Amino acid sequence: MGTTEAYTFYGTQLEELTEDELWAKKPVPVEEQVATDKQGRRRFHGAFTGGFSAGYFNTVGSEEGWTPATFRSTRAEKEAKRQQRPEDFMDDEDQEVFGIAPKVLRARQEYKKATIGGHGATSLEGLLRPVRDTVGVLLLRRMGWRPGQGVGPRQTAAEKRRRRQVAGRAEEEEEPEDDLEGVTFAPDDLTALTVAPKTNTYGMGYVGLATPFSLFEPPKPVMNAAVGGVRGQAFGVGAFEREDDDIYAADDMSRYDFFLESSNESRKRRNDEKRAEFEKKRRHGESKCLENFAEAKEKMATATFYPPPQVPKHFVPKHGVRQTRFSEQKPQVAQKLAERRGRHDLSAEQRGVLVGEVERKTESLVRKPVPVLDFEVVPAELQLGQFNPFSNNPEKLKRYQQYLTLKKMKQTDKLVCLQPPELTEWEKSRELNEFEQAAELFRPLAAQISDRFVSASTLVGSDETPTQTEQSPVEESVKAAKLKMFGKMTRDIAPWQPCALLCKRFNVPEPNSGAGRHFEFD
Amino acid sequence: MAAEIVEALSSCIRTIDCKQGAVRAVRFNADGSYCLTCGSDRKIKLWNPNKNLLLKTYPGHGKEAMDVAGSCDSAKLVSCGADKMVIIWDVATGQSLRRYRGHATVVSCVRFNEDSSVVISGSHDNSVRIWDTRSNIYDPIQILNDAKDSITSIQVTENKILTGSVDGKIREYDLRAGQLTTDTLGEATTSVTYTRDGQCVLASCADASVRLIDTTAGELLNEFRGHTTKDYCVETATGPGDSTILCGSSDGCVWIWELVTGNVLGKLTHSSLPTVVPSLSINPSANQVLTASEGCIKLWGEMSPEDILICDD
Repeated sequence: MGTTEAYTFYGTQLEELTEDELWAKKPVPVEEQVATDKQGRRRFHGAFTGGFSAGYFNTVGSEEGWTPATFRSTRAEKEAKRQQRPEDFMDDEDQEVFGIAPKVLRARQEYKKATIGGHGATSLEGLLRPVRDTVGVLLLRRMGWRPGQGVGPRQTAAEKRRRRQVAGRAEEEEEPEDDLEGVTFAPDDLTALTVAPKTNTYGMGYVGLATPFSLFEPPKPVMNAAVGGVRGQAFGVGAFEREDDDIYAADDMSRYDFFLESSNESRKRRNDEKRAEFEKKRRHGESKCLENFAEAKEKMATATFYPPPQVPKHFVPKHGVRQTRFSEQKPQVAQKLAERRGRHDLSAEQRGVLVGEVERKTESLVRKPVPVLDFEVVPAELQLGQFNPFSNNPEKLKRYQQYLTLKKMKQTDKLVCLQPPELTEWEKSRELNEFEQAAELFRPLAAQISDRFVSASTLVGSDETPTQTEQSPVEESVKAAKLKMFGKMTRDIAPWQPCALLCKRFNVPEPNSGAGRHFEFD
Repeated sequence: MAAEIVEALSSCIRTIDCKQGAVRAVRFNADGSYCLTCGSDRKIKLWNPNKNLLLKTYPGHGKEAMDVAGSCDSAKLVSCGADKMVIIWDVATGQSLRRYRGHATVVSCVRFNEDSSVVISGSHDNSVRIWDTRSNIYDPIQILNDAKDSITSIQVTENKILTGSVDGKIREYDLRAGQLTTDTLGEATTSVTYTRDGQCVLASCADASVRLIDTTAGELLNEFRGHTTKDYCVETATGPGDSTILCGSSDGCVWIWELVTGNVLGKLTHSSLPTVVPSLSINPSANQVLTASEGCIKLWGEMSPEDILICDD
């Protein structure tokens, strides 16, 4: 571990964060972490995002705008030939890394390092030479080969020139020397295949703007299936914009009208033309269509034909008339039906006889003497309104009404007289209970209204009495507490269900037999 | 007997300046050997009050810390603050283990349950939220919304949760019986606690009274007066031995009454100025009381012999 002086520091140091800051900052969600450029506009990896704002929103160079060069020529100073370069119209933003003309330091051609296959490679090879020639080389030399020549049958000058042309080597026009016929030359050596490295960042299949461009033909669709439907353009429309019309690309005259007519008229005209064509066809017998009809472009789907089922050889069809139950029954049928139902018409005694029961002497159940009402119960006018507890049982409803009258007379036990004897004891007592509860729940309207309203004579000038009834349940306990009457008045016990997990954590069995399982905490 | 206890408690054996701004709450841990303070500087501090040592600081709340509780094994702490967060800390490393976000406003009190598997927090948003520490659930497992006003204090026993609220009612949630018992006191309740035997509930109210309520019938057994509360939330506790009641006051002292008779037995004078003593804590295992006021805490009572030898003060 050396001293820190030995280190050089590169970059700007992060500023110290205090602990309060640390906790106060909320993490920025990923969607909000956008890259912005110097002016705070949203950046998109350097892609063109629409518009030629050139730094100062359509001005160049400064806020005031681009000032063109002024023309000034005097007799003394003649105006020099002005050569304007595109760089004059660019500003710093264009010359940044992501601009149109980035200013990058580059090495000149001569100082570029050697590429594979260039001059450098062979010179490197030239450094490493074998000490001895190989046997093959020795043999070739003996046979007349010299280094630099190719291997093969000897060629005349004309043949050689032709070969060179085929190979595509650029050659200067040489005047064919007056060669003596028969002078052969060794063939050219094959050059090593040089693989040119990719020095650009074009994609596969990239073709520049080399396609010829015509106004009068629709643009040929340069479609690459491999591209997979990547549309749009990298020029003119920004990365953040949705697809716009192809304003800079090839235009086509078919998009423009040549006549002054509306779309309706043009459609009509086209239809007329089509019709005329068909007429012509028909007249010539080419088309089998009817008048005012057009041949379909698509073939109709033929319906599938299902053959009828195969009937077995010895099949005899039997067709009977279907009987409805509304038609008259045939006498035999009716008799038979009556016979079959016979067993349901027996009484208990008859059935007992059939089975062979021994008759038992049973004493009939002693019926308790039903108390007899000594007065007539007139059912009172019942303002049931919405409250009708026994809507599905009109008998019961009537008995309820009579019960209410009895209640007024304080002779509710006389309900027994009114109840029919078919009800069992339990049912009778149950009905009595039901009537009691119903009477309690429902109080006739008059009584309810009287609760809410107070006649003017009772009010002494304070407005406490009406509010009392509304707030009674809440205020009571507080009032009792204030009067130090703690106990029943101040205490309220209500059921409460802890959730299942809470009971588990407290190691307590769940109360109310597992009602916490369906708990939804609010 | 009670008088002797008061005698023993009346001597202030330690004064620690916490340097935390105002100390909101002071709490002993489960075995009484350490104490925790929450300050308005948003930090929780762990002290050994007998040795007058600051052991660790837990920063992390966004606003002032309101209450803190230690777990049963003293390995974790839970704290709550005015930043609506409830944070569980690891005591040894000082890292925050969980942060529970759910309350709508200031969380005023927080407690662990018996085996520290559940955190119960009460807030000024009138709700008590119960959080589970064992599972990965970051939402409360239950929310108790019965109060109509801020919750000021919570007490948890092995199967009951007791809450006191500014709406003047104390609510006891019995998990075993599945019942909620509401006792109306009529006055805003600032602190509730059970007595040692669990038969009674002590509630300090905003009308400068401490009431002793019987849990079975809800009757008022005794009322203790004499101190002043003005608008402050003060805390109350049963003294060691269960024969005395202590309550903070806004006159700079902690008042002590005898439980049975209701007579004032004495005062612990925390400061001569009329500053409020908002928090106090009784040592569960020794005869000691910690009181907090303004920026410092004071330890009262008896010191264990080995601590006496070590201390300087």
